[in-house]
Amino acid sequence: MAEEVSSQMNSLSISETNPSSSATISLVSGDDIVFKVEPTIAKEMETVQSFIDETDGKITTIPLPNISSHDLPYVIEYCEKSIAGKITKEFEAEFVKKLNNEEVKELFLAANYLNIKKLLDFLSQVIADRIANKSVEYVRRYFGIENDFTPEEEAKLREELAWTFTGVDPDDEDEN
Amino acid sequence: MEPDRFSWLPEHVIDKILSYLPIREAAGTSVLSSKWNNQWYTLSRLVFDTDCVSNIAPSRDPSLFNNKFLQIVNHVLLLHYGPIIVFKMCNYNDKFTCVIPKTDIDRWIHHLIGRSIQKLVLDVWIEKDYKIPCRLFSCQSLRILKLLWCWLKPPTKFQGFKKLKSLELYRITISQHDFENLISGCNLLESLVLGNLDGVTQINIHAPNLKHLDIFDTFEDITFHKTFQLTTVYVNLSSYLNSKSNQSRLHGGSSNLLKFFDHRPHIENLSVHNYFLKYLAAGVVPVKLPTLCTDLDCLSICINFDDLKEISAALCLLRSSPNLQTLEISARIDQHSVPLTPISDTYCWEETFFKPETPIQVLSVSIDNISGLQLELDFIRFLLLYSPVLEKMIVKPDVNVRPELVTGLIRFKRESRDAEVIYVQKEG
Repeated sequence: MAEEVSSQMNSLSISETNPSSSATISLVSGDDIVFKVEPTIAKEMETVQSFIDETDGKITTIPLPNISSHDLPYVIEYCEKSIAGKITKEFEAEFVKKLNNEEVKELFLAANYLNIKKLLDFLSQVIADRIANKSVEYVRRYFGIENDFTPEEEAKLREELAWTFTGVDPDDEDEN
Repeated sequence: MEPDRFSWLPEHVIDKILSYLPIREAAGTSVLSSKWNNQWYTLSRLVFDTDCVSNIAPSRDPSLFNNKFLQIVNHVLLLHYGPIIVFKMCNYNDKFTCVIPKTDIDRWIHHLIGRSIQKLVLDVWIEKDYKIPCRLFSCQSLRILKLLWCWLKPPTKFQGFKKLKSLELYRITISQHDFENLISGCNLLESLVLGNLDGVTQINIHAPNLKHLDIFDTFEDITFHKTFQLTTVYVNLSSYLNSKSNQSRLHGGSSNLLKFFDHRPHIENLSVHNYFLKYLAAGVVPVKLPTLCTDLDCLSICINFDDLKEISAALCLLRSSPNLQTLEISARIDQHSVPLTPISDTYCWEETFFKPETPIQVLSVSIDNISGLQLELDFIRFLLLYSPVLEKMIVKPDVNVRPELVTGLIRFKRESRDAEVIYVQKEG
């Protein structure tokens, strides 16, 4: 009897030290806030997965210096929904409603950095919708692009691509 | 202005955003800055439609409209480099068709080959009997192909598109032999849509992985070989050909119904539209299929209620589908058939509509376009009497409905206590 108990205790202590089986992962945002998540989330975040693989699962605290504590919860929310197989059109519509232009861009960059394919695709669509039918000036402001063309160069380009510049909406106030 | 972090993203990431923009706007991003200037040259998804030229009113100057469309496609393809994963073209809208010379479309198709194209949609009206260039058949990267309005003549050595999963053909001219070769050569084919093919009278389908089949066409016969994976089948037979081959085959006592369902046990969703039930009812109509359609969940069926054989075929399907949940019926008025009213003396309700061995498990029934004929009422009586778990029956009669329908609906016995009968009068 005594032997059986001790072997059970052994197996218990083994599972506790085995980091890949049950331990949560800590994602640390750029501003040093720790978010504890289930290890399955790495299935969605390829960058996190490769980090875990490279260290053989020994290190479960992962710094994400490019992502702020403001944006990370959105990313986690989307990934958790995705793992649960609950990404619907309704969920995405609600999800995006909460986000202003700046947040959409930040999340897009975060999705790219973490290599989350579904979120990146979804946000590409969102960004495309937000810049569709807008003037060149609006799109430059949207992405923060500095125009490095001389007025002559730009005029020439616009002439070559005259078929693209028709029917744009009047610029509305920047939402940011 | 905040630092620009987008311009330095890798091309394939920017491509994702650009690919969700109409091509006109994607090209417009080249004016943003020198960094963005040629980002769109590598767009992997190219869609050309009449929106590209939406700024020109076609009614005022059709030739300008045509020229612009050609210019834009040529402009984009000339600058483009790298893979083109998706190429879609549609040259018409509800008001206007852009005229595309044959030589241009030929050149564009040639341009796509060798670019890893996976999805090709050519919804273009070129000219009568426009023949798709032979080289398209060498394009083995294709996964999705949709073609309209053209003539397909594959080279004799063509052995199919080995990676193709989805094929849609509308108003295509193709020979019987080439059609059969094309289908059987695409081993991975999962989805097939056929609409108004010219040259094909026998729909012979050999497709081991086919799951979805959608046909609206006129054909003499439909046959499957090794097509065991089918789950969704929609057939709309636009007219019934009483051909010699059909008649002679049926003299041998064969049954189209048995032939159609033989070895196809996984059908979940079946739509039998227009004259297809008449085709299925040809020959001997069995009381029940030898192998039950245990997976059939949703059945949509178009019945000519003047034809007892069609009614028997529909009843055979009901008796053979023990797990059916949803049933949609629409009445078809057959121009050429002789009305059965008054019904012949030999007809007897109990003989045609006898009690099924196992109760019908349907939950929801909708019946459309009926006018209150005796056989329609008899069919409804059968459904209400032998469907113990029926929850809802929606009846949408024709404008010229007889009062007998309402009387019948009130009178008929309902096996299910929860059955709700909803009568929706059409506005005349």
